[in-house]
This record gives sequence, C-alpha cells and structure tokens, in this order.
Amino acid sequence: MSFAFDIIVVGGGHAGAEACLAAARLGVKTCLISSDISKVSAMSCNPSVGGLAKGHMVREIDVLGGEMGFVADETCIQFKRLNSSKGPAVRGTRMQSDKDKYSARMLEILKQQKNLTLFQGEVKKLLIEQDSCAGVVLADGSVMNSKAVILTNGTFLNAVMHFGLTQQAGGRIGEKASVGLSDQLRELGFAVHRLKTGTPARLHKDSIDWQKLTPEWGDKSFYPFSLRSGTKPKLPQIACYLSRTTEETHNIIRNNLHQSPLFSGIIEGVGPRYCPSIEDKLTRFPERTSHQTFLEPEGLDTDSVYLQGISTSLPPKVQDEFLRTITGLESVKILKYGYAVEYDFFEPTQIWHRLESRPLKHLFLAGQINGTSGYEEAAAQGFIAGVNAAHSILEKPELILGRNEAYIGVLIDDLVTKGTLEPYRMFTSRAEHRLVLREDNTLDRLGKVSQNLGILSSESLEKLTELSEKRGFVSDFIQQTKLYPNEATQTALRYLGTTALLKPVTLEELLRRPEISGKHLEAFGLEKNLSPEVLEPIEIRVKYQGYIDRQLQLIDHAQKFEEMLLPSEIKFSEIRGLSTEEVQKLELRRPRTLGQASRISGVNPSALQAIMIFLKVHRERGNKNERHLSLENPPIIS
Amino acid sequence: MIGDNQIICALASAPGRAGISVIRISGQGSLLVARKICPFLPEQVESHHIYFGRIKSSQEKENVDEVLLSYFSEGKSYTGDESVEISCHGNPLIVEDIISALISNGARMANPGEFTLRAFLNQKIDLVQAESVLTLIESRSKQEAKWALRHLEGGLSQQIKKIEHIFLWALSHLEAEIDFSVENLKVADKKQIQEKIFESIEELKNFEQGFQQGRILKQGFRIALVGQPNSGKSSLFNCLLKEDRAIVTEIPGTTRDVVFGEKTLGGFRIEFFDTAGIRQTQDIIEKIGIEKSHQKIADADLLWLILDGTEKNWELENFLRKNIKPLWIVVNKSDLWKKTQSEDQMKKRVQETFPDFCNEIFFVSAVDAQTEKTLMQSLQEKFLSQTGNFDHALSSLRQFENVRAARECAQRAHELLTNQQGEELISLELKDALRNIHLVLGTVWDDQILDEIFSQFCIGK
Repeated sequence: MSFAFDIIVVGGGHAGAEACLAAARLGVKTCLISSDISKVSAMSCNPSVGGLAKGHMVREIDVLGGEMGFVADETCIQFKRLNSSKGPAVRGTRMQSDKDKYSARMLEILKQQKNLTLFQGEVKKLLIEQDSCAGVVLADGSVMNSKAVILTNGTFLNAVMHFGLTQQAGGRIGEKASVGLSDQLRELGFAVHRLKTGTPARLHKDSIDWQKLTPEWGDKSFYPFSLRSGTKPKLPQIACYLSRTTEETHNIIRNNLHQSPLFSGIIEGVGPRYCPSIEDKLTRFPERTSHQTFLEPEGLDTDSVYLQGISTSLPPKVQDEFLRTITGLESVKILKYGYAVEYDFFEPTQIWHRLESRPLKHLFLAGQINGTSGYEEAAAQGFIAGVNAAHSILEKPELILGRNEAYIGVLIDDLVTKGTLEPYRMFTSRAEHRLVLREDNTLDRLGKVSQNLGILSSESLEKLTELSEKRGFVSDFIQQTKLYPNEATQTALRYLGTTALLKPVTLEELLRRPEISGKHLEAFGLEKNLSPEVLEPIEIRVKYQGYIDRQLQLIDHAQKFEEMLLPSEIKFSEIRGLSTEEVQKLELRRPRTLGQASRISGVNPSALQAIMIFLKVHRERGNKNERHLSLENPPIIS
Repeated sequence: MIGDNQIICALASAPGRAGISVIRISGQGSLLVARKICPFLPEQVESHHIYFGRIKSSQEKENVDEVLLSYFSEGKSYTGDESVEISCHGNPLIVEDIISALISNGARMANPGEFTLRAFLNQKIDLVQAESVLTLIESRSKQEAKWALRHLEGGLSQQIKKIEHIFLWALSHLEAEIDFSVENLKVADKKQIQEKIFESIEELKNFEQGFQQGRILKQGFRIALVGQPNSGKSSLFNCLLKEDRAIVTEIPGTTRDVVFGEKTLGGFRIEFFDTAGIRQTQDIIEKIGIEKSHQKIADADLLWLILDGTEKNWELENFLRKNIKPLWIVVNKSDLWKKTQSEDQMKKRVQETFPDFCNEIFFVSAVDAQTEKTLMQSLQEKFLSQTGNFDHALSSLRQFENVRAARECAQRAHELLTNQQGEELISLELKDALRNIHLVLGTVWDDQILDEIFSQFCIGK
C-alpha cells in the first residue's frame, strides 16, 4: 500500500505544531490537519509563554529543536524572570506575547517547513486495522492513510462551553467541537473522562480607566528562551496593570452562585486546583475580601485585554454586572465573555512513555487530551510524540527523557505512571531533581541528546556545540588552575573582601566561598568578560554542588525502589494486603519496578510494603527454599 | 508461603503443659475449617461470642477435648481477617491433635509472627505498632509491658505524626512560596517556620533520649562490675543476687568468663555483669575473658568500679581514662579496712586517686546483708525514677537512627533559615527529614505537599 503521508497530526494547537515540525524535520512526510489552519498555535487563554517550571520546559524544547521558545522570543512584549530573588533552580522565564503575531509567526514557520503539508479539514474518526491505527477518516468520508497518527485535539473532544446555565457545543468561541473521535476510542476500550477548564472575559482597552490602575513593567534585561534569538526583544515592550476585586464584586458573585454551572452541578469535569474560577475562590476562601487581577493587553495592535485570575462561567449578564465593580472597569466594554469548557481526555496511564497508546499501535496522544493544562506542557508532549512517531517509522530508538534530565521527563513519567485526576500543570516541586533541572544548564543536560536527535539546524547545532565547548573549557580551567598563598594572591583576595589562603586551592574551591563570584576570578587568570551564558551555569553548579550531592543521596534512597524489578509473571491478585482497587490498577499498568508502582495513584504505602514482602519471600524461596521471613528495609515484622 | 491468602493456624499461648492453651486460626474461611471439627457450633455464629462444646479430631472421630471457641468476623479481629480462637486444656498432645485436625481440613501452620504480619498488611496496625507487639509478647518486666502496650495503642505513632505534620506544614509554605510566588499568597513568614522547626527539633531530641529509656525498658538496665583482679567483684555480685553464682576464691583472676545475673527493681529489669579483672596476663583463657569484659563494659549503662579498700596501690585501668559512661566507685571489704580507717579517710584517698570519678562513692562489704539494699536504693533514686515518659520511648535501633537523621536535617534547615538561604535548599532538608519520619512510621511519602498547598492557599492566576 502506498501512503500519502507517513504521519498525520490531528489538531494545530501548541502540541500539534511541535509534533508536526519535529516529525517533518526528522525527514518523514507529515500532514497537519486542523479545522482552521489560520488559528494554529492560538493562545486560547492567557497571552504568555513560560513561567515557573514551564519556562524550563520551553528551554528544553528549544535545545531539542522545537519552536515554542523561538516564536515566544520573536513576539515577546513583556519579559520577566520570575523568582529572580530566589535560588537559581527555581527561577523561571515568562514572556507575554503578542497573541496574533505568535500564531502568525508559527504559521509562517509551518508553511516553510519541508516534508510538511498543512490541510484544513475535520477528522471524524480513526482508520483502524486490527490493533493499530492506519490513518484518519474525514468529515466528508474521505480516507487518509498514514503509518502513524498523532492526536492533539486539546480541549475540543466532545467539548461543551458553559455560559451560566446555558451550554453550547464547541471548544472555543466560534469553533466547533470535535465529535466522534473520543467515542470511537471509548468503544475500542480507552478510558475517557471529563475535565473542565475556564477562561476570563476579554475587555476592550479603550473602555478601561487606566489611570486608576498600577502599571507593572517587565525586567529591563532580556534573556531569550532560544539559542537562536538575539539579546534584544524585537517588539516594543508594554506594561500590565494591577487591579483588585471589591466587596461589591464578591457580593454580586455570591448572590448569583446558583447560576454557575459549577455550583449547580451541571459541570461534571474536574477543574484545575491551581486555576480556579473566581466563583471557586470566593467559596473556598470566604474570609478574603479582595482578590488581585492583572490586566494584560493581548498584543500591540489589538483592542483585547486579558483579565488574569478572574476566569468565570457565570452568565454574561452577571459578568456585565460584577466586572464593572472591579477598580478601573467601571464602564468596561466586554469583547468576549468568560466561560468554562468541558472536554474529554484519555486517562494518560494508557500511553507508553514514548506517548504511543497502549491499546492501539501507531496512535500517539499528546497535549491536553492527556489531561494536562498549559501551552508548554502541550508543546513538550507534542514534540516528544512527533519524534517518537517519526522514530517508529524510521525504526530508530524511542526518545524518553529521564526525570533527572528534564522537566519534560518528569511530566511524561508523572502522566504515564501516576495518571491524573485534574488538569496537570508542571511545578518545580514535582521534580525531585529540582536543583539539577535548571534553566541555565538546559544545554548541558540535553545538548548530547539533541545532537544525537539531529533536529536542530546545522547552524544552531554549531552554536550549541560552541557554547558547550566553551563551558567545558572554563569548567576545566577553574578546576585545574591552582592559587598559592603568596603575596600577590593574598593581596588580591584582600581586595575582593575575602579571607586569605592557608593552603593552595583551585579556582573552583575559591568560587565556593559565598562572597566570591565568577567575575571575581578574572583577577586570577580567568578569561575576561565571559558572557553570562557561559559563566552563569558554571558558577551556579559550583555554588550548589554540596546540595546537589545531598539531593542525589536523597534520590538514591528512592532509587532503591526503582531498581527493585517486579517479575513479569507477577500476579498482583495473589499478593496479600492489596485492595481490589490496587490489584486492578497494578494489573492494568503492570509496573516494571517498585518505583513505578509507588507512583501509581491509589496504590498505598502499605501495598508497596506488601509487594516488597512478597518479592522478598518470592526471591528467598527461589534461592534456598527457606520459609523464614526477613527484611532489610523495612525491618522484620514479627 | 508468607504473603499468601491461606488460612493459618498456630498455638497462640506458650507451649507446654498449662491450665489452658489457645489455638488461633485466621484467614478467610477460618470458621468453615473450625466447623469441621467443632460440630457443636450453631448455624449462626456471632462475632465476639464464645461457644462451648466437644471438639473432634479427624482421624479417630472421638471427642478430643472440651473447648471454648471464640469467633471474630472479618475486620473485627486482630489480623483483620476472619479468625477463630479455640481454648483447650493445656496438654501438648491435645494441642497437637487439634492443630493436625485443622491442617487436614485446609489450614496451614503459621510462620513466626505471621498473625502480626497480616494485621500489618491489612492496615490494622502500623509498623511501629507491629514492632510493639513483639516487645509486648517478649516483655520481661511490668514497665516494659506497659510501654509496649502504649505503643500498640498508637501512642508513639501519634507523637511522631505531630512532627510529620510540622514538616509538612513548613514544606507546604516553602513550596508555595516557590511555585506560587506570583500569586500574592499569604504564606507563613520565615520566623514562624523557624519557630515550628525548632519545636520539632526539641521533640525529636526527646525521642532520642527516649530511645535510651526504651532500650533500658526492653533490654534491662546493664551494670558492669569492673576493677582490678581480686577486688571482690564476684563476692559483691553474689551478694547482690543473693546466691552463689560466681566462683569466689582468693586467687586473683578467678573469674575467667563474664558472669551474668538479673533481678527486677521497681518493675525494671537490672542486669549485672561480673567481669574478669582486667590485667596483663599470659593465660589464654583469662585473655579471652578480659576481651569479653571489654565488650560488656562497652554495652553497659552504668559501671561500678570496685576497689579493694585493703589494697595499697589502686591503679586506674587505661580503658577507664576514656570512659564517658556513668561510673560509681564502690569501695569493697569495709569489714576489713574499717578496722584501721574511717570512711572520711577512705573518701579522701579515693578523691585523691581518682579526681575525675568522685561523684558517687559507696563503702560496702560483700559480707554485709545491708549492702544489697543500699546499692539498690541508690540505683532506684539515681536512674530508674526518671524513666517515666513512655510516649517518647522508641523501641528499635531502626527508629532511633531515623529519628536522629530527621533531627539533623531539621537542624540544618533551621540553620539555613537563620542564614536566609534559598527555599529550595531548606525544602531539600525538610524533605529528607520527612522521609526519615516516614521511615519510622513505615509509610512512603507521595504528593502530600502539593495537596497541602492547595488545601491551604487561594491559588489561581
């Protein structure tokens, strides 16, 4: 059979864009199908890319050869490094983007991509041959064959929007829901559930009384996401504006809670805990009399302003009323009302780490349909799915990033082994290797992986190699250069305000002193005026090293579980002390190690101990046919 | 096999002849198995009721014994599984008959500790409680039993969970400060966190001290009698135990092996070790004895340095110079030296010779009946009266090590807070502390911190 395409990507959001680019760049013929190609990579909710832990993922995507970071840099209208007063591991870059320009820029890149065809159309169902996916069937009944399909439908599967008690099918205002696909997969045995998310109203900028609001500007310095971007933003930078809800706002909302689909029980999907609607906030924290909100212009040429923190599904009439009680919005004109959207997602434990579905071969799933939220989480999965779909065709090994290598690794491992009950968002606290997974060392973590992958252009690759060679050189230099306690050295040290040497030290050892910075080492022969790109990661590594070691120790303890292999023939139903639910979950996921088992939600600590006891006895019986029970960790229970 | 779902049975009371013996059967279907040999059971059997009747062994089909049968339904028994207990007359032959009858009807012999293991796996008890069961069963003194029971009721777990809570609370505030710093949250200030952590450190220290008490409760209070050869250690040992346990002669170096004796005092168990007098010797047997003595000295809670009051030259053995254990000086043979010297003179001499060890000095004679009373009374006053806080008594070295590690982490976290270091570093220490606390409790940490954050803070950008 001849194929028009090797890979079909369904859905042109942030996941879809990265998926089709990665695949096409790996040299396989790829087609992106979207119901509206002009809306590719649309920012459906907040107009920014990055944030804490999310900025990390954007950089990771960039080093591996994705586009999100570059496009965000190109269209940035406000730059901020969050947590800049905190430790380097928990700093995160966030860029507010010009929404329309972001989408347009991405479309341009897609159009120029070799091996990639953009196709406007609606996918009704998958073409199934035995236990694998062999293409898609479009709304007009026509069939498109392919060797693999990547679904990235976002919030569109059986999507329903809620405006108060009124519902309307659709995933975004003015856009249809995608009906049929999730039902087909459900029939094939996929577990499909509902999630909910929401978005605030968009306001007309000319109707806002800006004088009453406090402007918030971004940082003066600019550190782009991408290796390919310049050191200056291309677009003019703008301010956001801080405002607050009032007691009157709260009264109006409280009096109208019965008209909220969330509180009247109409919405069954679970919403994100970290992104609650304003109704939710008032109900859960009744003692607060005011909540802050940021007014974020959605671009340079648009009238639309995003009202951060006030997502709502109350009826338009109530929104009209309560929005006008927020400071500065007394006579506001609303362009789009806020709404909640409910959509289908596939329990992510049904996919492998490579993002291929378990029940159906050659079908890859990425983005919000796997239960995540956020553009960055979606883009990260899209990229990995694109690579692995292409690799499956090229018969290359799968790309799976470790939890100690990348936030993307944490994201996918969490999804696949733990599953999720609410829209999953990345936090730095989800990464046990947090001190190592920093924005500044993304290149050091993933440079090699990227080189082997070969998606980056030769130009970028050259820059990447050059930068990591430079870092390597400087690292070696400070490790090997020794300072001796002679007159000249001691004078220089005194000048830097630090104590004299008692014995010879390397520059690296000197750098461990809190009062010494990388720049200070110039006094002792380090090349002058090294770019922060080179010096910063080295400096941070040296200063953090003691803690990084401790973190590794801590992880080592957990690693014991990772190394405890579960025999493939293990029958969980035969292990004492497991509940029926635990047996079901374990039988379904068939974890390969005790570590994986420990991350499955609903599998309790006592169950892990039960499995451990079982393993121990199992092994001992095999070894010496002994009926004696002994355990090292946990200890003997008599 | 351990960890399976079979019905298990075993003699639950002490083996041997006794008034009664108790056989325990546990596992789903226990009642069905019991029914086969207890035809007297009514059709409807109720949990926590006792039934009386004649039991039949399978082979002979004869009445074996008159028994009492107690029934415990699923979820209401010690193990959590359906269980039956049969009380029969305490004859090993009867017990054997009943157990073999049970086995031929589908039960199997339980392994040591398996009932408790099942209780643990069924989440009827946690790890700390499981360890306490063993202690309770093996208690050799009243105080120890009381303490083990307290643990079994979850007393220790409750205390430790309080500390767990502090760590979780602090972590949720620190992590919220990191991951939701843009959300304008009202997290606890660093000083508040520091105070709480300080609290936990103090509490953990109590546990560490409690461990010492726990060990004393469990293993007894150990006193090693040390001193030069022929200072009368063995005579004193016999006097304390009121029996002739150690061989006493006038030949120096008579005691070759360490002799052990125990007695109870105020509900505590006291262990005495009569050690070989430590001296340079060529005698191989004596050498081994001296080696063993050193070991006992290392394990002891209290040393009694026995001095011969009639001896002109007292020498301080080398090992005592580095001693950090509590040490009493007991000047022996007062029946002899008091003929020529007063107690005050002797005291002065002791103080001059051993200026570093003069806190407790006793003048005794092994031939005086009063001696035992005097020493025991002092022991009670100085040591045992303070051993009362059972809430903090850890029962195993495992728990002690984990508690100590947790305390060290908490101290480092405290220090980082003082030096205004980053949240991500403090968090690392607290996570390690938390892990150690979970090891004490036998639970594994998961996404608790995030859950805690969402339950406490209004988050939503």
